[in-house]
Amino acid sequence: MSTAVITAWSAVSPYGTGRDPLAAGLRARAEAPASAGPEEWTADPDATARVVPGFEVRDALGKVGTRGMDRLTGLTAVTVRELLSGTDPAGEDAALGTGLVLGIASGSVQGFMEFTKSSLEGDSPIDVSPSKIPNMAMNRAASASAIRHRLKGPNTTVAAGRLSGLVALDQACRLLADGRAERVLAGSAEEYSATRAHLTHAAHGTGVVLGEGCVMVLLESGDAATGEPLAEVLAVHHRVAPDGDFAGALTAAVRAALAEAGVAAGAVWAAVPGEAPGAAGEQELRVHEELFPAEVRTRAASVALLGEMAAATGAYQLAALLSEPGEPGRIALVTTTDPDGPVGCAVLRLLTDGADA
Amino acid sequence: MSAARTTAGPAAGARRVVLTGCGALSSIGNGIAEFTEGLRAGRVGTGDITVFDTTGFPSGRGHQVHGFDAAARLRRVRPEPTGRATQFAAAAARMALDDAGLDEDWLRERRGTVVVGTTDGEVGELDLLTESALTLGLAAFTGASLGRTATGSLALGVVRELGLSDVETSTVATACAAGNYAIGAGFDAIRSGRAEWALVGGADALNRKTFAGFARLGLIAPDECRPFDAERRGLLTGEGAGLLLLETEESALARGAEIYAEVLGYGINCDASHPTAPERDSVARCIRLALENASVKPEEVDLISAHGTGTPTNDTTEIAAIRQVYGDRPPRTVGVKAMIGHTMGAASALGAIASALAVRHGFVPPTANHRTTDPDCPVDVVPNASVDADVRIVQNNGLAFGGNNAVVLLGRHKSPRGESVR
Repeated sequence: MSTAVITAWSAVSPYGTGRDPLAAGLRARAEAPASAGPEEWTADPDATARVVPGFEVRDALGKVGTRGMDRLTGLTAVTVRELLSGTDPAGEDAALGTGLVLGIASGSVQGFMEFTKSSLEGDSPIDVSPSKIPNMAMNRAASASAIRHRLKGPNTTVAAGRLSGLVALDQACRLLADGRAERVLAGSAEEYSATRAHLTHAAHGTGVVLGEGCVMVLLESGDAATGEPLAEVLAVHHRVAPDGDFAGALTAAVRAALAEAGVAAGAVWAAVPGEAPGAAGEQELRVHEELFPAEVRTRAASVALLGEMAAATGAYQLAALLSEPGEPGRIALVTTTDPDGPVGCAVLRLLTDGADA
Repeated sequence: MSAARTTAGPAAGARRVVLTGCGALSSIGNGIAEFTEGLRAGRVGTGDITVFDTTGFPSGRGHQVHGFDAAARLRRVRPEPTGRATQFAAAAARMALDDAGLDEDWLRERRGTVVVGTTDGEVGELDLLTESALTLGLAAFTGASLGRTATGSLALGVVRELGLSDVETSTVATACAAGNYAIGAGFDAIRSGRAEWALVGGADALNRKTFAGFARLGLIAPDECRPFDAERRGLLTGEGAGLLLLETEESALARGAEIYAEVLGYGINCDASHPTAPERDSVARCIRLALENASVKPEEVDLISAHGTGTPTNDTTEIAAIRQVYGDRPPRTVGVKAMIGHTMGAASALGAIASALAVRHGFVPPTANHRTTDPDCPVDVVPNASVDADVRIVQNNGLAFGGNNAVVLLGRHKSPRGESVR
């Protein structure tokens, strides 16, 4: 069975729109800039976050078909646009088509709560904005991106907390391996919002600075890739930590992924942790210390530079590896843990030299 | 049918996947026995919604799950800190496990996958949080709120309830086709050898947010949901869960399990056309993808369990797509949403269970509340009363907002020796 290869990637990040600003920021190990969050219901005027600078959905995407579109959808659609860079796939009706797998946490939490607020506060409980109704479907970001670029293959939205990026990568590889798509865009996204900030701060402390954005990679079957392979996905393995034993479950996941990839822990050039808040992240760090020497643990940029990325974390870990200079053929690994239990690991062979295309 | 199974398709040489356990929560009954009896009797579960305040809405009718005692159904997941949809998913998974004659140890000894489809996840919890925030302000946000409102909580609830660890989990949020997406993911995981078992399906709980959205669009029926009826006026929102235990044919035969049906294959695609309206040609393409994946010819299909929401647009478009594939004489096409409402992410999972019951017990569940079939929906909808029938292969449709289509094909299982295993 042919493995999947990543042949392109792009992003919208707190460093700006497109791949290059993110790659440059990560290579420089520069903390993404922080600024004030948007003015919206429950917003704390003093809150700072690593938001995408100046991002407004309708400025970024134009006025057509974007009325009422939520920020999460806008961030995702811009990333897909950047990734396809003006060449929408052709022949979508004849063949299996282009798939899209997006990892999210819970959709636009702010949008959902404001919609319910309108229902509760309006003269009538159906005094809700019709232009917001398409946002109420949690698959809005993935499906709207498909509509904008006529992507007619499998269109999947997966939610697995901070594992969402890894699970999306896994699902995308499976769609290719199982013959259900010609090529697949995969990634994960988060929007900054006041309510997401309150939820995160209540759970993990007010010191957590939130990030937002989206990273998408283009995956093709290794034996049929039309683009220049940047990385080969060798294995993805995820499972659930029982009763707070993140270290035990993650160690098992890393060992399973390395075994499936057919590489030894000693062959890993770079290991990038997901750096979850709390015990999930602390135990992940210990696992990395046990399995990998210090130089392996520090070779690629830390996703903490971007702020707490929640569901988008896994996709940014891929970006950190894809933008890190080095010889083609390096083995790299990412792990992610979620405070609610899921843990996972992906193993890649980097085929790029990490320089800008 | 046996000829079709030997056709070289994508499934050639791969492991066969069978359904051996079902868990159902619905407005017409909880548990597979009640659900089966309700379908056979053509029972309609419509009633007044009480899980949120429907004061001021044009109608307060819907399909609520009654008699669900979470504390009695769940052994590990505590109901108090857990959202209603997660409770549903976990309880239905336990039902499916029991129905399959399996226990947690059996699951723990094998690598498995849990995929739960949903439209809203724990949006009902966000509704409650919104109410609290309007009265309490920021004090409404507590340390537990993030995990409690996370969409991934549904699949995780199943894993927690069954005390599992070596299991991959995801919650698939592809709106109202999510149940079929989940079944497809489980099918592929087992077929390819990545998992030995799968607990897959869908769950959703009634909530104000989605009810308000459908009501604002004018899509909620004033009295009953009437799929394919000339006088249909819309859908009724519902809640529930359908979880299916899938395993390999080899495993089921070895342990002498009762097999409901074989999962023959599925298709998924995206209209990439309109945020809320389905597209005929694309739905037809999805049906063809499923038939091809399952190596089934259209004339071999005995029954279609339609998406059939009872909205004017869905039903006309769906039947046009079916006729594009099946020609002028499509198989019987039924809309179980007349009985159980539109259970969102659970809808196609409960539809798949209804399909499997049709195969196993030899009956076609009816399209309830039916008066006159719409001339634009020219199919035999099996109005109002179930009929006994030899059902060998069923097509189960799921069509979602965003143009996310998923079609699953289930067939009567034949043992390798050729006789029917019932």
